[in-house]
Amino acid sequence: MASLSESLKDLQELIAEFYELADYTPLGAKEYNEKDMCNIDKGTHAQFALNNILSLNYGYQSVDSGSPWLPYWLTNILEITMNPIEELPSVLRKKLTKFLKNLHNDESGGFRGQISLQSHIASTYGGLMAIVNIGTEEAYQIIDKQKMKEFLTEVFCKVKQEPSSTLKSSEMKVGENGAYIMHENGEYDLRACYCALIIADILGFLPDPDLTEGMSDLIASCQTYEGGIACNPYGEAHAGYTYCGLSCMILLGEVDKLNLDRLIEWAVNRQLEMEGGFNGRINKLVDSCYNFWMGAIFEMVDMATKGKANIDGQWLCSQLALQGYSIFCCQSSEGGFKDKPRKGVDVYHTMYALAGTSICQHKSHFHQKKVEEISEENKEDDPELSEGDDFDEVCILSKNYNNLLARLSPIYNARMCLVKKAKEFYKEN
Amino acid sequence: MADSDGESLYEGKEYIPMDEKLDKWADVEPIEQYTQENDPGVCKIDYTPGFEEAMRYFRALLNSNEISRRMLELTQVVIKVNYGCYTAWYIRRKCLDEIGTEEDWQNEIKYLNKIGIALEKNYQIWHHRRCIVQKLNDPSNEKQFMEGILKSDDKNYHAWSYRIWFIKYFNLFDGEMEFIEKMIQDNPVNNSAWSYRYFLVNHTKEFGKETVEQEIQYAFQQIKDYKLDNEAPWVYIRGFLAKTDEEAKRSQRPNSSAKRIIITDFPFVKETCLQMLKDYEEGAHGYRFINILLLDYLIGEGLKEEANEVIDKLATVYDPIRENYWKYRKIS
Repeated sequence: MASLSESLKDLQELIAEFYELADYTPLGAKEYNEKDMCNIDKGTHAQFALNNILSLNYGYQSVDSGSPWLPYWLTNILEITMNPIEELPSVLRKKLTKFLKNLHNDESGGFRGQISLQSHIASTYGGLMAIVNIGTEEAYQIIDKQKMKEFLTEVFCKVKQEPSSTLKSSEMKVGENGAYIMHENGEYDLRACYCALIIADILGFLPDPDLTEGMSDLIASCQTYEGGIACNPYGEAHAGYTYCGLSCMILLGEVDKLNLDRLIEWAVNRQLEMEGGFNGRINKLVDSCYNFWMGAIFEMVDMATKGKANIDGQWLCSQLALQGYSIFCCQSSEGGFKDKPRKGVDVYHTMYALAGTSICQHKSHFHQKKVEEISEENKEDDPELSEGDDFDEVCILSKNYNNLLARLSPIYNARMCLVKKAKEFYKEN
Repeated sequence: MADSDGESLYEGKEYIPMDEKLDKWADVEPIEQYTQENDPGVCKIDYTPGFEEAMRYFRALLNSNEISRRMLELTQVVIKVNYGCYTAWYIRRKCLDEIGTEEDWQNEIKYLNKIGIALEKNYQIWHHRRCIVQKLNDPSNEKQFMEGILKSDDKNYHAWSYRIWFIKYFNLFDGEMEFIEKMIQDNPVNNSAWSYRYFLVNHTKEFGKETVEQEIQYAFQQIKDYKLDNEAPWVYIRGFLAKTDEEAKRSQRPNSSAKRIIITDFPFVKETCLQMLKDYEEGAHGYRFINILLLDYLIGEGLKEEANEVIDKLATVYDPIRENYWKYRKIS
C-alpha cells in the first residue's frame, strides 16, 4: 500500500510549492500580510455559476439522478459571493422555478431526482433549498405540503422491519428504527435523516414524533469511539455524517445524547497542519468540500454549547489556515474551486468550498453579543436565527476585506434571511 | 466529475443503439426529457447520445409500468450509462421479484461482481447487493468479493459498511479477527480497518479490563513498529478510555455493550507515554499524540497543573495549528 502514502506525499509537496510561491504557511497564516496574493475573485465565481445555470457539460450526467441539487448549488454560489438571486433578471428566476416544478412529484409528494423517477429525500432537500434561495412565492408554491408530509411518513422507519428472506427484494425497508430511507425500497443512512429533518423544519412540521421518534437514539448510536459520527452504527466517523448527525441533534434539541467533547476533539484533528484544509476521516486526504462539512461543525458546536466553544469569537479550528487552503490550492482563476490541486473544478466543490470559507471568515454570534452587550431576551434562545451579514468583526486572511463572503447558517447551508422568509411563508400557507 | 459514460464497465462491447434492435423496441414510443412546453432552458446537461437514448426508453417503460424481460435488460443499459439512477436499480429488483428465474437470481450476483469494482463508490449498487444477498439468503460469495474491492481501495467506506452488515446479519465472525490483523499489518494507517477492529471487539469480546489492555498493547506496538505519526492507533487507544467516571457514563451508546474504562486503571499507559517522550525527539511528527494521551491520564489523576503544562506545550509547540482548541481545553 505504499502507493497511498506516496500520493499523500506528492500532494503535500505540491501544496508546499503553492504555498512557497505565495510566501505563505498555514502555521504563519496569522502573520500573513500579502493582500494582493490572496484574492477571492467573487465576480468570476459568480460568473462560473451563471455559466453553469445556462449549460452543464456532460460530466454532470453523474448527478443527473439528483438534479434538484444543481439549482441549489448554483444559486448558493451566487448568494455566498454576494450576488443575490433577487437581483437576477426575473426571467432567470422563473426558469429555475420551472426547472424545479418539472421535478416535483405531484402524486406522492417530494421531488424526483429526475423526470419519471421516484421521489428521493436528498433530491427533495436539494429542491427545497433551491426554492429557499429563489425566494419567490411562485417558487414556494411548487411544494404541496400535505403530500410532502405523506412522502416523509412513507420513507420514515418508525418500527424496524424484521429482516427476512421471505420478503420481496423490492419491498424491503432496511432502515433502523428512527431512520429515513432515501426513497421507496432505498438505502438508509444519516444523510436521509438530515434531509428529512430540514424539510420538516422549514415546512413547519416540527415537533412531530411521527417524523422523528427514535432518531436521536439512532444518531447517538452512530457516534463512534473516535468521537465523530458514522453513517450507521459501528461504522467509521466521517465528516459528512458528523455534520448531518450534529445538525439533527441540534434541531431535535438532543445534543446531550452525544459526547460533545469527543466530537470536538475528533473534529479539530480533521484539520491538517501542512495542508491547512480538512480531511473527512482519519488519515485521508484533504478535500475542499470538507471546508463546509467540517467548518460548519465548529459553528454548530459553539451553538450547541451556547457560545462556550469559541476563543474570542473564533472557532476551535484555524479559520485562517482553512482560507489559505481554499485560496491558494483550490481556486481556479477561471472561476470555480477544485477539491485539491491537479483536479478539475466542479459545481459541487465550488459551493461547499465557498460555503466553508464563509463559515471560517465569521465569528461566533455569542461573542458578538458579549461584545455588544446585547441582552434581547427573544434572541437569546435562538442565536442562529439572527442575521449576521452586518457584523463587522470577521476573521479574514491578510485582512483582505474584499474577500468577505455572505454569512450562512451552518445548519441549513443557506443565508438565514432566506430560510426565515421561506419558513414564514410555509407557516401561513 | 466521475466518468459517467460507463464504457469502462463493458470493455470490448460496443453499445448497440436501440433502434437497431427494432423488433424488440418497435412498439415503444421513447419519451423525451423535455417537451417544448416544459423545457425550462436552465441547468440542462449536455448528455452523451447513449445516455439520452437509454433514458428516453426507460421513461417510456416506466410510464407504462412495464415489468418484463426487456425491462430487466433495459435497466442494465441504463445502469451502464447512468449508475446513479436509483429507480433503475429498484425496477431491476421488481423485475427479478416478479419474473426472475432461479438462473436470473444467480446471474444477478455474477453481474454485480463484474461491475462491482467500477462502481465501488456508487451508493445504489451496495444497497442492491444487500437486497439480493438478503433475498437469496446466501452470503457465500461475499468475503471473496470483498477481497477484490478492498484490494482496489482499502478505505472504501461503502465496502466497510457493507461488511459490517453481512458479517452481523449472517453471523460470520469466525476468522474476522485474523482478517483484520492482516489488513492493519498491510496498511497500518488505514483507519477504516482500525474502526472495523473496534466493531469486532465490540461483538466478539467482553469489554473488560483484560480485553482493553490487550487492545491498547496491540495499538502501541503498531505505533512503535510503524510510525509515531499515525493517528489511527492513537485514537483507537483513547477510544477505550475515559478520563473520569462521568465521562465513561456519558459515552455509553444506546443499544451497545461498548464502554470506556477509566484510564487510571491502566498505569502502563502513563509509563509507556513517559518512555516514548524520551525515546522520540520533540520535533518528531506525531509527538503531539503522546502528549495528548498523557494529558488524558493526568486529568484522570486530577493533576491539574501538570495537565495545563502539557496543554500549553501543545498550544505553542507540539500542535500550534490547533492553538484555539488547546486554549479551550485549558483547565481553570
